[in-house]
Amino acid sequence: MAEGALSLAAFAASYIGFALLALRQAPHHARVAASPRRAPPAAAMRQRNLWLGTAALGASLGVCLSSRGPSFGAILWVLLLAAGGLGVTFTLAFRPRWLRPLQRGSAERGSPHLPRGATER
Amino acid sequence: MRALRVILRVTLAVGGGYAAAAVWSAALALGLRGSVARAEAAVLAGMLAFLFFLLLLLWLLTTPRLGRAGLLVVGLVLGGAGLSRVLSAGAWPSLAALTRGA
Amino acid sequence: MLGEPLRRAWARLHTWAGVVLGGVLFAVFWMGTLSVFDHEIDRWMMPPTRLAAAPPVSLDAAARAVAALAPGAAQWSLTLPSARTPTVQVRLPGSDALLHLDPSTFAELRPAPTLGGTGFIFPFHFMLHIDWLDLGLWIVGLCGMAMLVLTLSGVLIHKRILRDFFMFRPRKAATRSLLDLHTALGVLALPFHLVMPLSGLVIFFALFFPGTWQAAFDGDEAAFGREVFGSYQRPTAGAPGTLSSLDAMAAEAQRRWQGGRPFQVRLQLAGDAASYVEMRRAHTQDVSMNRDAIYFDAATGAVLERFESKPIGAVQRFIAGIHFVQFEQWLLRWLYFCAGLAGCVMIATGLWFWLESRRAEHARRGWVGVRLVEALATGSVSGIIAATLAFFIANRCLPEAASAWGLGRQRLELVAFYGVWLGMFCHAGWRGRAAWGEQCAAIAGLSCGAVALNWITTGDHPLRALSRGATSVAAMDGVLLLLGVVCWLAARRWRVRVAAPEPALELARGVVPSSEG
Repeated sequence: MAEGALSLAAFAASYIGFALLALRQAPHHARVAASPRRAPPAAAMRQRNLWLGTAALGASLGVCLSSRGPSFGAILWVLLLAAGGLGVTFTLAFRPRWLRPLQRGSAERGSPHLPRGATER
Repeated sequence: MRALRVILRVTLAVGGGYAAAAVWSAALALGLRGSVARAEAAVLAGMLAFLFFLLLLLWLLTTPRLGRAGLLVVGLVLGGAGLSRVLSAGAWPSLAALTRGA
Repeated sequence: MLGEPLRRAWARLHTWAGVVLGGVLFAVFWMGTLSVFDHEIDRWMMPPTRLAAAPPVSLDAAARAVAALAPGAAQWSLTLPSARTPTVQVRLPGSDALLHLDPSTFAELRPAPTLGGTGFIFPFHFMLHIDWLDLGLWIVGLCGMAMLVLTLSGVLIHKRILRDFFMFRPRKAATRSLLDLHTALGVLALPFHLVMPLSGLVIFFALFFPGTWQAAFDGDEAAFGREVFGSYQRPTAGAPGTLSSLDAMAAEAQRRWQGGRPFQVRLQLAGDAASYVEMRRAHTQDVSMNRDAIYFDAATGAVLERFESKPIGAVQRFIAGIHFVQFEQWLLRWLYFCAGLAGCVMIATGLWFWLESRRAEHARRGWVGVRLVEALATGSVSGIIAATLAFFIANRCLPEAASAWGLGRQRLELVAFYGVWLGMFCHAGWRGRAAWGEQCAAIAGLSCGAVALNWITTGDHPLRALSRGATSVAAMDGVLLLLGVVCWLAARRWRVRVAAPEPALELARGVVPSSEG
């Protein structure tokens, strides 16, 4: 049971990692935000997502290795990467709104194109 | 004719590439015999043979200079066969001994 | 990544290899994907073997049962029950058939004659059932190399691979969305598409590159078998002999393997003084398909020989294990299955992208290329899926003693498979573009029919199977139903697409201009 929960966590880390990396790209960023703004994702956000996304993928590897050992863990990680990546691809294609929580608090605040105070809630 | 050139290229790539990989992996197995057990030599050479074949396939199927590539493959096959013959006769030291001396 | 003229050469290579070999590649990939669960398919196709988990089996009791079954047999092999195969499997000389024994009573379970998943689907994957001169093995080997060439060329010709990493636009024109899906599946599961063909080829290194071991062993095949695969033999003594406790031998083997269990026991030269017992180590706990074996003297139980792969040999066994997937890690097995299906969809979308992007031009120029490839592709993709379902349905429908045209029941199941497959090719040739949607609808019907027939003929509907402990049957029914739903949706969507006038075809940007064949 614990092994299953850890595998789910590893998948979640893979999915979130790829989602963060996808949001660095303008077409996906715009689709998730679903706003007509043409501003590309801010450089600060892109930098942050690169670090966080890669860290999430690394965390996924760590969880796989620690829960299943080196050989099974490595195989599981590679397969979960494929699953996470394809999961993000299909989410972006059919339900991009689901990724909006990952966008909140990053693009808005960092974007140089919005007037200051526009994102105060 | 274009179709003929394609068939020639594929035959050269698959047939010539396979032959070259086969003779060079045999030579490698012979050469490794001195440094590892013969079972290990056979398995390692057998696994590397596929990678060698793959590289030759990719090159021969896409290179623009087919004539030159063809000559090179023929040379590889003959060279590898010769090397195998020489190594199996035992007249030359194994690859490992050669590199140890260098 | 590549200069433009070189990129076009690689693109031509990818296109040609894909179109020519796509059908065979799909067959190999489809059967391989099913082979992940070949033992589970066996349970579905052989209802008497649908037992719940087996209690530990006494080898001595099993050996007595085997001796009673075949008193004069000079040798036999016995495979212990596992989570996936809860029966004792016995192989006797002079017969290809595998006998299944109940693990508690050792009574012979008599499933209706069938090749099943392990006898038909798995061998189809690696040798296409073309035995003559090992031609099937060599064709699959070539497909393996082709898969590597296709995967690497596919990556290299992709102009902006990072930009397109997560791109899938299902609502755009067919050429756009098909190409998006094809590349997404290819790139995101890239390690799988590279490791699977390579590991599969490495399994057969001795067949495909015999020069290596013939050179290393000076042509001594027996020595090669001994030192690389651990085969052992000794001649008969000509005098009668006894068999001591197999359970004691198994305990000794487990001690030497530090907990590793035997999964297969083979008795050679039964009844002879020189009789010996081979115990092979289970593959279920590690990735590696080990060849670890211990040979015991039958009369005394003394260890004659112990084989373990040397380091490089162990690497080959590990690589083989990555391909064979015999380990009992359920999440990993299901992920392999899904990755295999992703590969199948990748091949299919590649073929359909080619068709959709060339359709207008071939029609304009009066070329038959698209019509021919369309018929072959449809027959190779939806056709083989339908044929597989026909195989399952025939298994449920044919009576136990069925025979016709001089063929037994086993052969008749294959007639169903190949007959439906051929029929699907003919249907595709006749119906053209609409065939794919019609065959998808047929698959939906066949898969639901298979589940219904399982219920009718065995009483095992998914919930009952689960409660009985026959999880593999429930899982197979579940996958069949899911396949039915997916194909039904695909059929409906295809009907819409075919009926609606096709918008101006958007040429795939940055791959191959449509004029290049």
